[in-house]
Parts: sequence; C-alpha cells; structure tokens
Amino acid sequence: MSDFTITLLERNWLSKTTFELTFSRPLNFEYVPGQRIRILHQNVARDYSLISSHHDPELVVYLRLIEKGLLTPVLADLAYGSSVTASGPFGYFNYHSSGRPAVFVATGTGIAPFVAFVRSGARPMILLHGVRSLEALHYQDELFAAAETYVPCLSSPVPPAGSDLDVYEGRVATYLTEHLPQAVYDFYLCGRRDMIREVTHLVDRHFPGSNVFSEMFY
Amino acid sequence: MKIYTGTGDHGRTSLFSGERVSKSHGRVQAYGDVDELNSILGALAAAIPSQASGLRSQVQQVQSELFQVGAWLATTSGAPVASRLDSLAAATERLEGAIDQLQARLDPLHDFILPGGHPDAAWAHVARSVCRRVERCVNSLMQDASANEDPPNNLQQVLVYLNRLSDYLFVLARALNKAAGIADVVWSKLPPAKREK
Repeated sequence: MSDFTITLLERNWLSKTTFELTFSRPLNFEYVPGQRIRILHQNVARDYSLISSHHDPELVVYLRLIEKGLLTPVLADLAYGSSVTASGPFGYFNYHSSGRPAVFVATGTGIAPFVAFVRSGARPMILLHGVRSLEALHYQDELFAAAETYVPCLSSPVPPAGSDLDVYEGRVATYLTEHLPQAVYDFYLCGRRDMIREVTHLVDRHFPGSNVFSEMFY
Repeated sequence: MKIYTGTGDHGRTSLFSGERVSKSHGRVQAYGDVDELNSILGALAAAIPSQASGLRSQVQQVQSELFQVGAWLATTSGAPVASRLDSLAAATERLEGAIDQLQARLDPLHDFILPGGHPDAAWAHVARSVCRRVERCVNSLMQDASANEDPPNNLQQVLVYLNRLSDYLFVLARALNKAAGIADVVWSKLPPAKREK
C-alpha cells in the first residue's frame, strides 16, 4: 500500500480538546466506512478513523488533542493548505447488515466509525455513547435522527437542564444490562479497552448467540 | 500500545465474522495451529543464511499468506465480512510455481527420505508436518460444516492452499539441504538385529 499526500482544507473545533480535520481526497482513494487512514509526520504515524461517508468528496477525521502527544498538537496547528503524508485505508471494523438488530456502543472519540456508518446509510440501530461530560458529546443531532434508540451515557452527574437530550446517568455496560431487551444482536464496540472487555463479557452472559465486532481506541 | 484486551479471559473469543465461540472451537484450534506453523517458519526464515536469501524471501511470503489463511479460518461461510478477504487462489498458484522452480534444480527422488539433514531443512520438515496437521484439522472442520449445512466453500480454498504448502515445504527442505551441500538421507529398512545365542 503506497503513501499518498493529502491537503488540509479545514479545521473545526468541537470542544477545547476535540476537533475535526477535513483533507482533500485523492483521486481513486476508496474505503469502506469504519476504516482508518494513517497520517505520517516526521517519523510518527498514527491511525485515525474516517467519519466521512465513503461517497463524500473529502476525507474527514475526528480526533482528540493529546497535549503531550507527538502528532495531534502538530495537526491542531497545521496551516490550511499544508500537505501531509498518509496511507491506507486500514481496518476491518465495518458495518454489515444482517437479520439481527445492531447495537453500536462507543466511548469518547470511539464514536468516529459510527458517524461514518450513519453517514453511509447504516440503519436501524441502537446507539450508546459513553462520555465523561456533556461537552464530550458530539454529533448528537445527527446520531439521534438516525438511530432507533440513541442513548448518551454520562459517567459524571448530569447537570440540571444541561441538555435537551435524554441522558442516561451511568456507564454503557450498566445501561445494556438494565435496559436492552433479551435478544440476539450484532454488537459493534469502539472505544476504551475497559468498555470493550466489560461489554464483551456481558454479551457472553446476557445475550448468547450475539456477534461482537470491536475496535479499540487508545 | 497495550496489546491485551481481556475479552478472552473467560475462555471465549470472537471470530473475525463476529461469533463468540469457545477457545477450544475447531476454527480457533485450526487458526492456532496456523499460528504455530507461522512461528516455525519464522524460526526457519531467521536461520536461512544470506546466501539463500531468495529462499528466505519465499518463506516470508508464505508467512504473510498464512495471515490470510488464519482470517479465512476465523470467518464462517456466508459471513458478510468474507467479501473483504482476498481469495487464496493466487497464493496457491504462486506456490505451485515455486515448487516447480525448486524441483527443477533437484535430483529426482525414487525413495522415501528421512526428515532432517541440515538444521534449516529439518525445520522445514517440522513446518511441513505441522502444516499437514492443520490440513487434517481443516478437513474435520469441513466435515462438521457439511453436517451443520454451513456452506464450507471458504474452507475448500484453505485446504487446497495448505495441501500445496505442505508439498512446497517438502521441496524446500530438499532445496535447503542441497544449498548446504548435504545429501538427502534415503530411508532403508534396518537389517534385523543379531540374536545372541
């Protein structure tokens, strides 16, 4: 897989620590929603999930600024029109429609591949997004409109009148145990390792026969 | 980057096609044996001297292909994710070409030979015998799949590749012996032991 060059077109800050980058899409660059591109800069390479639909004319990634990180501070300051080297696409975390209902479970920026799924027409699904605070909740209007059931799960107490959305106060695993009806599902998990481990064990116990597809975000 | 997830701590694992299965499931055993085969080939590749770097590259190519084999074994027939995997047909064809090329440089064989000779060749024989075990494992899987009416098409191409790979490893062992200047040891029936009166 050979490297290619992409040009930064736009940066959109969603919070103090999370932002989207829109890059030019090279001719003939094809990918499947849920796949990642690898950005290389001064011998540092990092993978980022694309949140754009595979039909979109540009490539969009969503990332969290890691202050002491080697690449995100550079990308946070990169001038428009700058070129970076990239490779890919990578990964097999893709949505496959089946006869089973789909349950998407994300924590933090692990929502990225699910945004790509939704933008590419994945329907219907139950979608849970676990975050620490309301500020970390992004794409909620778009996801709410697409999902059969959309549940933001807040691990910290919900501030009074903090959101127009119904918010579940607790972890995604607790919500699944308490509220997801007994059935056989396709679970798609993306986010922190602890969540993936906990939900996978929960699936084995409470939803036998279900499929589990997972991708860990570090 | 931490490599552990802990999702298999209770003895179950996810297939590539998403199903949660026991770690003693036939498919898991099969791709576990492929992993063993791949590790043996890694040891072999590491031992092959630079004078035979062409053979080392071939072995490393096989190592890459075994990842594809593992992915197929971890994918149940008819699973949507199978459409993302590459067919093994081209890899099988490549192996056939390599067998023909190596064999053309070897003396014709009229007898059984003992696995062994140069240590590199001995490792190739170890790999060959493990490869045959994987074949038997996949064959059992195919029989189970037929019994469960699961179309076993995915496994057929795996079986063909493994069969060809076993043959390749046999020829490779002979080629490695030849490269090291060591003659194959032909099997012969041992003379009966002398009886003491």
